[in-house]
Amino acid sequence: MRRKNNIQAYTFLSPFLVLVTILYIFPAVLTVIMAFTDLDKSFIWKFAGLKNFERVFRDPNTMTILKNTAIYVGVCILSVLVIDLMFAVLTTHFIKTERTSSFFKGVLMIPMITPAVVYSVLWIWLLGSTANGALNQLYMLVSGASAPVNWIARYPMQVVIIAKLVTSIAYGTTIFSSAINSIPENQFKAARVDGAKEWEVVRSIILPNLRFHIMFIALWETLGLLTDYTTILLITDGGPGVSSEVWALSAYHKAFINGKYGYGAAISLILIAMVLILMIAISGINARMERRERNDAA
Amino acid sequence: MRHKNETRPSYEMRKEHIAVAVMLLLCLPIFLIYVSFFSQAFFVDGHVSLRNFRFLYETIVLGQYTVPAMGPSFANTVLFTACVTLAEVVVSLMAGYALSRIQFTGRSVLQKILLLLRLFPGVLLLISILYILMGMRLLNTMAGVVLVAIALRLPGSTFVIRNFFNDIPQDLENSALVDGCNRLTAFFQVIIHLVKPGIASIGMFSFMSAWSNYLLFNTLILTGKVPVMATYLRTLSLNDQMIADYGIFSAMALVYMLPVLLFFMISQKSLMKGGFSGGKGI
Amino acid sequence: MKKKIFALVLSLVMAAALLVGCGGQDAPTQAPSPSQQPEPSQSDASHPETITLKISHNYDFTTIPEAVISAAERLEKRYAEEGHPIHIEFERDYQRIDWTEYSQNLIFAFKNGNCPDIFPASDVPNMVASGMLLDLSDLKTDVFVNGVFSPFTVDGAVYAMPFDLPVRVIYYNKSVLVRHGWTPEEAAALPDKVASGEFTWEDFVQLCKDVTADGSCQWGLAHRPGNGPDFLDVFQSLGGQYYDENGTLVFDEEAMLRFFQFTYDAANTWEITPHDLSQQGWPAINAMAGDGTAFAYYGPIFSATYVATAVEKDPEQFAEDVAFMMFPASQYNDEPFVIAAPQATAISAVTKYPEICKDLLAELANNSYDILADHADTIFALSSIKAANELESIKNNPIVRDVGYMADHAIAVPSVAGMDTFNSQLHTEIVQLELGTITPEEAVADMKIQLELNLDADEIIFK
Repeated sequence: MRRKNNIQAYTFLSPFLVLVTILYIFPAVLTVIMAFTDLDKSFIWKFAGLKNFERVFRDPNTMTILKNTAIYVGVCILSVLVIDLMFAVLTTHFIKTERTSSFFKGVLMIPMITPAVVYSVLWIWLLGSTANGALNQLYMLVSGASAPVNWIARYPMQVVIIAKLVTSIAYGTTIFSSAINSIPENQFKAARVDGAKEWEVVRSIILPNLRFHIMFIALWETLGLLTDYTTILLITDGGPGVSSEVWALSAYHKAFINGKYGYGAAISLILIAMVLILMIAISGINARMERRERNDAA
Repeated sequence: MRHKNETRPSYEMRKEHIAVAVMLLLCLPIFLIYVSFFSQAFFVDGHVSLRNFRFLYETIVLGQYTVPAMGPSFANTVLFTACVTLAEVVVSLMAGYALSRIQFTGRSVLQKILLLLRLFPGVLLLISILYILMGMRLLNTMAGVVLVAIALRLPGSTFVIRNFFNDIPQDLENSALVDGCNRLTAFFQVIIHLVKPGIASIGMFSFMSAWSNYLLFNTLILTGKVPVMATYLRTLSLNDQMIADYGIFSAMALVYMLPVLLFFMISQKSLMKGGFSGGKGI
Repeated sequence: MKKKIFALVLSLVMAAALLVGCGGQDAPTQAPSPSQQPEPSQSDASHPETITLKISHNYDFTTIPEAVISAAERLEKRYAEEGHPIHIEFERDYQRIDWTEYSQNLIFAFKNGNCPDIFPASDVPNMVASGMLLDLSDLKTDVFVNGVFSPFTVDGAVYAMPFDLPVRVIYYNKSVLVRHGWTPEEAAALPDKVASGEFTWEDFVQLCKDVTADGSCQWGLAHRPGNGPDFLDVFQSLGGQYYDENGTLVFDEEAMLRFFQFTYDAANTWEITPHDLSQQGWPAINAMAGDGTAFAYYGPIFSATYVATAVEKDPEQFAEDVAFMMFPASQYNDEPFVIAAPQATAISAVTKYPEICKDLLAELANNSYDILADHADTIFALSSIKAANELESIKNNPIVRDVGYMADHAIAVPSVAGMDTFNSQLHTEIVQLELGTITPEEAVADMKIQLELNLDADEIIFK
């Protein structure tokens, strides 16, 4: 029986295992190997020891990039959590008419489903540096200023943070909404009988019930922000200079633009190490969430 | 389910109205930006016109650059999206089924690996994936990008599907197995029960991510042989040169986004049920 | 050791690839690929043998690959006369992406086994290092203008054939000078004064400041928005050297500081260059250079095709307003000069038809140079072939006819390894200097350390 099960199971699993092996396991191993080579555009594999890591630590830009990454991730996470909670409470706790609520959630999802190549141009159009730029027209009209502002060059980090933020809202809001929906109604009733203010309801009922979800979203979004650089790539490309370069994007630049594949792999490897720690944290929270849900169900 | 309106006290309705007003105010900027950006598609020199949509059927000349008609890029995108969505659903169904329903040697190890992989951001491996594809002679081919796109999303989808399988009572299947049906019949029996929510959930996300994928085509396709919508639009909007004017670009973007928008409208409800894909692949 | 590991990994990959091939039958993981379909073979016993060459190009000057394709028709005739008829078909792949990315993609394509047969030689040092370029040393070089092969020569071997001879010049707007109070004759005579050494770089910078200050134009001096070699010419005007006699990259710290100081001042102190120029993009800059919003602009002469288009003028009308001059002599640099920046075509080292490809290039160089002359005429450049420069199409070109004398002052730059890294870092600093976010000293320090980190020790000399 066991044997038969094994054959059946691995037949079902074979496409999955093959794909994962070729495109997760092998690349992971190869990344580690590449990080210790001097591989560049001419494709000569030359063992370089720790040279690539030494480069990372000697590069004065590393500090800037680290700082940018911290600001990018930190500011995004904090704002995303606050905004998500606000939207979730507004659309779920206050707006109880199903259709209105899903209309708003739908609007929030539009940035998320906009393809990156379109989304970035939308921002570049909005923030165009000339007097014809959409925001500049408004700005010059309202403030009466005569010179247009070069928004993207002057505020590169702010721009990419806001652009990324807007696409991230939908996910957390949806998760929080469904979490609020599953809070037993009698908790709210009890609070209302006690004459609690809405703010107290949010603070003493909704937030405690959502604490694991909040932790989960915080870590999940961190993971995404640390590794997904498409938005930045397309809007500022890390510039001007390195003023909006983040860690993952610098690996891309080193490898695909400068042709230093070994160097790029080393930068990736450092990030992978950070990501692994986060992954373990998320798995922990997930396990606790599942346990809680089982307890609730019981 | 929540209350019906008629049973709700008026103070709650008042709060709801305030909340609606606040939400309207907050969503307004997004709405305005999108509307004013895309409305440019329908204006040429201040007049209402559909001239911006000429790229649909003919080659257009923008400055020194000749822009080919959109047809081939659109066809490639459709092909790519169809392959990725279909394959991802099938492969993750099979894997999810095995992981959820069959007791086999190595099951718990694989479960743990799946949990880790679904969180692992596959983009970080792009540099070495390039070499792997090169070794397989699949670099610069549609097949190569399809494989990578599937693989990078696979752990997430499998995870989601496995959870759906976990939620279906074992009895359903047992009766089939006892009746002497084979595993394949049992597989289909169980699948039927999750066809709607499970498959819809991963299918939708797979569709949307495949349709808008830019990064993979940018890094793994080297020649102009396999143009897709993402690279087609990107060519016209390089950072140092916006070749297309915004009218033409937004017209193209509109055509590009139309299938996603339609799909989104159809599937918005299921999207909100929290059926978000569970992976960090792409 | 490491090689073994890699071999092991690769062989595992191969094995896995086979598995996917099999697995693909029950799972639709294999997508039909449009690029993999075999070409329908047209060879037939009664017809001449048909071969297909893949030809690739990037950006707009498709007259380059089209010249090769036109030459093929004439070559076919020649082959037929010689009694071994061959029909040459072309598969075109014209793209429009960043040049760095394009040349990198070509190298990848070569390693991947689907390199085009004929393509632009855009990153010669790396392409040669990766072994993808066919040695073209047996081309007859004496029909070419002197020195045009130097950017494509590595260790004495020639790896690409130059198709034209554009020079990088300073564009200036005559009507701005007239507004400034010069007579039209004075304005038109400026290039001669530059050539004689009478009008120096310092005079030029002063003039840029003056015309901006009195409102004859909005900006004094503009340049390209993105990364490119144009900036090196200003660097050189300020006495900077970026390669030595062996073709090794040089970091000249003192001149670099001078150049960065100039860049900073131009945008922030004198305000002759918009500080956000790099964010404005090509269309805005081309228009600026064409309509006199900017008095001067520096870049390759073929950009004039774009500049003229941006202001909707034909070459004759354009030449009435805009003229070209060399980079003047300066206190650091005794001679006026221009840099020759030929565009060249290379052949894949693994092409199935090396002889036919070489014959195509030889055909263009030795017999069909009229096609190259037409190409040069289209992009407003001199030709790389001596005889072609005597043809009417070039002699009568309203833009080229006035700059012919520059050929005598043209400097050919050798192929320098690491130049791409140097240029891209240089541009990064320029953007920040113009925005005023760093000081020239910081830029020099950053540039230095970045070059140390990103180039091999034997690739660069610090001075």
